[in-house]
Amino acid sequence: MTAANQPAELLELLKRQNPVQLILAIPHSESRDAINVAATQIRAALAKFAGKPRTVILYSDTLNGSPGEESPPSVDDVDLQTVPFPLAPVTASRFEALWPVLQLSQALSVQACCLWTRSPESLTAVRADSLLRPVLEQQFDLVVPRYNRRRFESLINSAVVYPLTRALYGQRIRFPMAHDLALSANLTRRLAEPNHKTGQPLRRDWITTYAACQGLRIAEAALDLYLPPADSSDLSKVLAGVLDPLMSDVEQNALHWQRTRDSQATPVFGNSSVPAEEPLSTDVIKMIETFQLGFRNLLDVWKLVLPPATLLELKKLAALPADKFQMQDDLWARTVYDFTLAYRLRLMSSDHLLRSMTPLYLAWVAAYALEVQGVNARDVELRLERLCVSFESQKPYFLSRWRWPDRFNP
Amino acid sequence: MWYQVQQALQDSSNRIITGLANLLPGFVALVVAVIVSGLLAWIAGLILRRFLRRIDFDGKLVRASGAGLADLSPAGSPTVLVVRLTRWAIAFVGLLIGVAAFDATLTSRLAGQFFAYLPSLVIAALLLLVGNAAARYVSREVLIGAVNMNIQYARLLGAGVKWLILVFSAAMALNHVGIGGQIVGVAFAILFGGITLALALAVGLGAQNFVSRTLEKNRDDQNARMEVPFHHS
Repeated sequence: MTAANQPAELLELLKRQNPVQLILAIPHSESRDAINVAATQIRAALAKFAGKPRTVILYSDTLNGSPGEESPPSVDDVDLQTVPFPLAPVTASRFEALWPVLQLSQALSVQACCLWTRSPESLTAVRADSLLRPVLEQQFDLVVPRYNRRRFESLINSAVVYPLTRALYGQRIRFPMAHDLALSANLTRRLAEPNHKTGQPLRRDWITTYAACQGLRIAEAALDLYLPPADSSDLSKVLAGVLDPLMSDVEQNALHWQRTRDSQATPVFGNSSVPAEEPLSTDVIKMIETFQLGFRNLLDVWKLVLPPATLLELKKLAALPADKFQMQDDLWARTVYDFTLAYRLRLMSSDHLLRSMTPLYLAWVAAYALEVQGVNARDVELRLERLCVSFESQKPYFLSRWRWPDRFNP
Repeated sequence: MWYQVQQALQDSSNRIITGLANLLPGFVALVVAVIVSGLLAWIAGLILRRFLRRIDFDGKLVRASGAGLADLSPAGSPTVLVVRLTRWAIAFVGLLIGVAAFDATLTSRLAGQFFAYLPSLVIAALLLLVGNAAARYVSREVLIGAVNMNIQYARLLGAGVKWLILVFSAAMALNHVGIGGQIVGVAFAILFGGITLALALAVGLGAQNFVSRTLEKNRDDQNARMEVPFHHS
């Protein structure tokens, strides 16, 4: 179909046609051909669904090219259309990319909407099925991907994000920060509701935690995909960039997570392959040295955040030789909780606080690397499971410190 | 003639002793006023400290406005800052009362000069406050950044940057209130230059290893076996 230049015009155009059941947004694409390939795969996946939902695929309107340039042949039919749309790149903010899609979905009263931030070629029929079927046919409100993970990938997620969100929100969502999402009409409506005072949308960068707090049904889709490695040349900046919104989210949702108890397993749809064999040698000396340097130089900063008992354990850890370097899970869990509390209490600039956590994080990575370098993939997952159990067992400690920060300071 | 010398000495002695006798009550009043105001200041400070600790003034202030004021306060405690300011204010009032008892016109002349000088004092105080806050913030920023870059002289860098900013803001404040004149400028130049030189040496010496490691890594990457990369996000 021809491009509608404004979202309002597109909305009017779509309203005049048959009702749309599914909107799928693909912000990143190199070419229209790639969009057409994705559309073909999606059509093949949706053909197996009961009712064959009418689908609109939104792609970035910057792909339209210059006037006079030849466009590839359209793959549209009565059940599936590809439409150019002003989509923000997801690198800016996931919510800013999702917001116009939510508005359009809400206006068209669709059954589900989906955001696919990876390349269109990676959206195969099998992956589309795993992502969309739970929302369209099994009454789940949110489906997030479960990526494949090699033992030394997604370390911030494994060290902090997953254990913390699991312990606090009670949902075992392996990748809570995932950008590829499928949302039900119910969740779309809730997210699209503006603040009744300001009339502006409530910015929610953590849709998984929002859904967990609202008691909505969440599933995971095993997509047999690996996350692309992000630029970690400045690790402290990356760490602060991830933890800042996470801790802000924890602060905002305090009323909800203080009531949750144990965590629940999340249903997983689809299949993924076992990670390829990985080289087993690791060099953690530099990470341990950074931690030791941090302990000598940042102690005055850490004293503002960490209680004396934790500082004492870190002192013992800093004195360990590299071959015996081992960080207890409880120690790491309490450290993360203390930094989360310090974030809430505004003990210092949040940027300083989170960047000063870098040596402690590297200590955890070094200890983890030494433990998992000689084990198989299943044992790696068991190792992370033990870490998550520690976070859950230390939640009462966090609750006490959160409620009485001055009185409870072990 | 000796009789006239004797008379002159007697007259001058009488004048000096009479002058001292006239000044003495005022002087005693000044001393008493200072002692009493000092005592009152001490008592007021004690009561105020207990009261502020009881209501957790430090904690509430930090939670309401962040750690900035705590950083500026002595011993990191806004309570101590408030108590000291109160004590000094009471002592200053006592001093003014004593000076007024000593010489009634002196206080009005002093007050006139003081209020003319006040704007410069206020701006100088602001300069010191802002400089202090900036020094603490920037030194912490440098310290954390240097540690994360694995620079061994991180603490020295942080301290150096802090003292650079403190010296700079102190020199500006003194210059503004007109104290010290050229001596302050020269001393500032010497101190500032010295600290900058020390920092440059620290960075240069500390970066030696970093540069050689970088060069070795570039050479070794060509034929060494692949080490496990860590993907943090």
